[in-house]
Amino acid sequence: MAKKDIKILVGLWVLALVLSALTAWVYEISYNPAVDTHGPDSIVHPITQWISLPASTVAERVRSETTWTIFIIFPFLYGPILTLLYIMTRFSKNRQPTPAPVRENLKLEVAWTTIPALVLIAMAVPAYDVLRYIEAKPTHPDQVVNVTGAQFYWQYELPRYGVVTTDNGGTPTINKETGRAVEEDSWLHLPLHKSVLLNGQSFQVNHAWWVPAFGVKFDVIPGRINTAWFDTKKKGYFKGQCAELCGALHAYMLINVVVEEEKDFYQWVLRKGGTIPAEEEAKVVSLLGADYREKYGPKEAEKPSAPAAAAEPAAAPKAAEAK
Amino acid sequence: MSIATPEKETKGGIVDLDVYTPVDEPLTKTTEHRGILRWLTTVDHKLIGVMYLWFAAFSAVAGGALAGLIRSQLAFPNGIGGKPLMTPEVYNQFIGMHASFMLFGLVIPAFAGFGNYVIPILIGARDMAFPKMNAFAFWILVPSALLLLCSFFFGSTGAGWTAYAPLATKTYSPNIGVDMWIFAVHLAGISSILGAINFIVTISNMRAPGMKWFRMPLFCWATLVTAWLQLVGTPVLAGVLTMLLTDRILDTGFFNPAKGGDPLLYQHLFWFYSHPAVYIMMVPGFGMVSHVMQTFSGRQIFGYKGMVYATAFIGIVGFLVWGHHMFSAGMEPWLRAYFGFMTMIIAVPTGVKIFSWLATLWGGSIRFTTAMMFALGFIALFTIGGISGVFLANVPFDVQVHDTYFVVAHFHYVMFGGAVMTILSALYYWFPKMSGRYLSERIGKVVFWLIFLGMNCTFMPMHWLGIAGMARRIYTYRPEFHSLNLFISFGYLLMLAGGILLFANLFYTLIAKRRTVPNDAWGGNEIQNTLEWMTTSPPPPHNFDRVPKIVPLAYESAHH
Repeated sequence: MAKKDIKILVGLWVLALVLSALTAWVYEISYNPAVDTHGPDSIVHPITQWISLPASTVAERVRSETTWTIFIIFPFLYGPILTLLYIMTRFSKNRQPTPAPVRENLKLEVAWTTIPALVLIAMAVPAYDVLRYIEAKPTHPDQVVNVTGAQFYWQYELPRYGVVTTDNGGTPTINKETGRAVEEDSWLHLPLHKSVLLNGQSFQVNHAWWVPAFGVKFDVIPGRINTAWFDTKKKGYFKGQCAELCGALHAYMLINVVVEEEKDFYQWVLRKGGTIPAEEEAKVVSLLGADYREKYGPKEAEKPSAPAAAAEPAAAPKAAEAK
Repeated sequence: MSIATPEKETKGGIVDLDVYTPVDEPLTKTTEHRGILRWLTTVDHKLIGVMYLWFAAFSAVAGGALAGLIRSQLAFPNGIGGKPLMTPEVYNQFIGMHASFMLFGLVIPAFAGFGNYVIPILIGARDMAFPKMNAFAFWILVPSALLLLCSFFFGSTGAGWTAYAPLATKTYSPNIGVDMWIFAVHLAGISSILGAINFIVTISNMRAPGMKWFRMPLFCWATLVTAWLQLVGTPVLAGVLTMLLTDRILDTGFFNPAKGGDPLLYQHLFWFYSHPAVYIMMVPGFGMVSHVMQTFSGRQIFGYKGMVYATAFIGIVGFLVWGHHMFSAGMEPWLRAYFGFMTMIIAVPTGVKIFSWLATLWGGSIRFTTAMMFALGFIALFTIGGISGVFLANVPFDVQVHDTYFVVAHFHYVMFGGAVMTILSALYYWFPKMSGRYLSERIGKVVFWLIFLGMNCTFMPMHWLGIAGMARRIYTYRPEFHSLNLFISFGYLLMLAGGILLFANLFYTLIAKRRTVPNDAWGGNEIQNTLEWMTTSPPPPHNFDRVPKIVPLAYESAHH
């Protein structure tokens, strides 16, 4: 191997390192903090995802861990491909009429075994750290949500307030006057800056509850309760989708989650006919006033509507009608 | 070319075809049938190998057509002119069938075909160890494919090729087509197991004198490792599908929590086979492109023993990582970490292979034949697939992109960019040996570029779709993904054009061209020294007139 060739080879791998750093940088700046509180009109905007808008600590940590992974792993993407391109030009039959004989090079073989192994360790350690964070479910979460996957809708229960709501998925219908989605109240609402523990269950087939911006994806499987957690760090409307094939209308099992100020959250709880537990009474009074029940609670005629709809799984999903 | 001279022996090492007693008869008599009967009754490993390859070609057409239907639905999720193209039920069947045809019908049989044809010749044997079992292993694939095809008309598996319980149980998939699908996979599994036994016995016992383990060409090693994977893994798949079948028919409740079963058990057992199956569908390709690269770079493989150990290591560790398909399914926290780390470890021997190929090419004198272009394309595409695989081994990242189009992109880069590229490379490489005719190099290059570009147009954007939040196996999607999906469907058309051109050229060559290929079809075999280029093209039924004797290569003696 000529000295010049070795120099070029080293140059190519340095270039690979630079390109990887560049890729990681482009990835990093795709974070857009300006998209902070996107209102209901963002329903038609792209699915809220974890790269441009991580909305929980889990998602943020996954995101920055991914930047690191790109930085240290991409040299092994660019390196071989650049080397291959160079080989194709430099060692074609025209430019190299007689092949050089192969010589064994144990040092080289040891190097290209150990260096990737070390790089993988450098990737695995922070990955393990994030994984531990994902597994560190809070023992006293601020909110507990029981998620039930069904063919083909999601049902949420907030046991603390006795609220049950069913998200039928599908594309939301926008009310032209208010600019808000008609279905908004049937979506899962969560208060801002709180930790949320999700208990997932299913009684029919497997589903997976996935909201990219929260960094949460977990399967709900009959016969067991899977759990996941995240904290709400950003206000807004977040979208997700069922991520485990669950039958014909799997594609329509969309998820919408609203993260809002605590007072808006309590209003939603009251609209859904929920009851405020004694230990939160004082907080709700300070947020909504002493007459919160009369002001925000469901009117007598409407009162049973929400739980009734939830208790009736046969309430034909909108998706089924769309079909 | 075929007979060694003493000088050559000292220079590069060579196979001496002349020292052993002549063999007049092939090991198993091929009867004198002609025409179709000859094919139906043959036990000759070469004819069986060719039939395997035709079977794979048929499956490629079926699977490719299904891919076209899938892509047309995703290009027009709302139908054309307000009329939907297909129902979601049918779409779900299409994705399951596409995978079944491509995996069980195309990739595994294609590798079995090349293995059948080439392995006995490469080790200097006259046939496989069990020729009749070999024929049986092939013919049992035919009813398997027929069942698979017919299952369409009875409502086949709408649960994807993984057929997860409980979705694939009677309650949620009542159609008899699912049972037919299970039987089809059973039959393909029997074929796999029998073929694996045959390869292991053949490679272990039937090597020509002097063909020591570490003188075997790399394709033999690759096939040996693959055969062990099949032998150990396939019975587990057969077991889990049998449990699914009894759940469906006898209501045994293995996967029904109401009866004390567990749906997660299905996933563990399924992936215990189906992750090694990924290597079953990849490792033989590693071996084949190594041959192609040696021939067309004029260099022996760099780090032969390292390649052998890397292959064996991949095979062994391949059995210890199945859980990475289930990172979101719910398992012990330490188990998630374990499966993630184990998966990362596989990247090391895989990297050794890629670096060894590059070192083989470096300093070579590269001839850009179509076979070589597919091999070079393979390196690039497989590197991309391998890197996205490392990302998927990273558990927090994987949880985000699990069951999205990122995964679809990853495994198509591995299965298409890896396996199918090596199959096409081997096709162009060994076709002259098998048929005595060269495929057109000019058309071959057009085929290569159409498939290479089409492949990248199709699968590269899927990485982004997955990260942006498009789940896989969905029949319609959020409107913001439409433009990329249209582009992907366009990429499919490029690949389709490449495929049609390839088949047209294949048939034209077989019908219109004459047999003109010399023994050493590509020239320069004195570097690589493999036996298939030392017999006629196509070889006689008994492969060699005299049993070859293998003497050490010069570089071998220098290092031992």
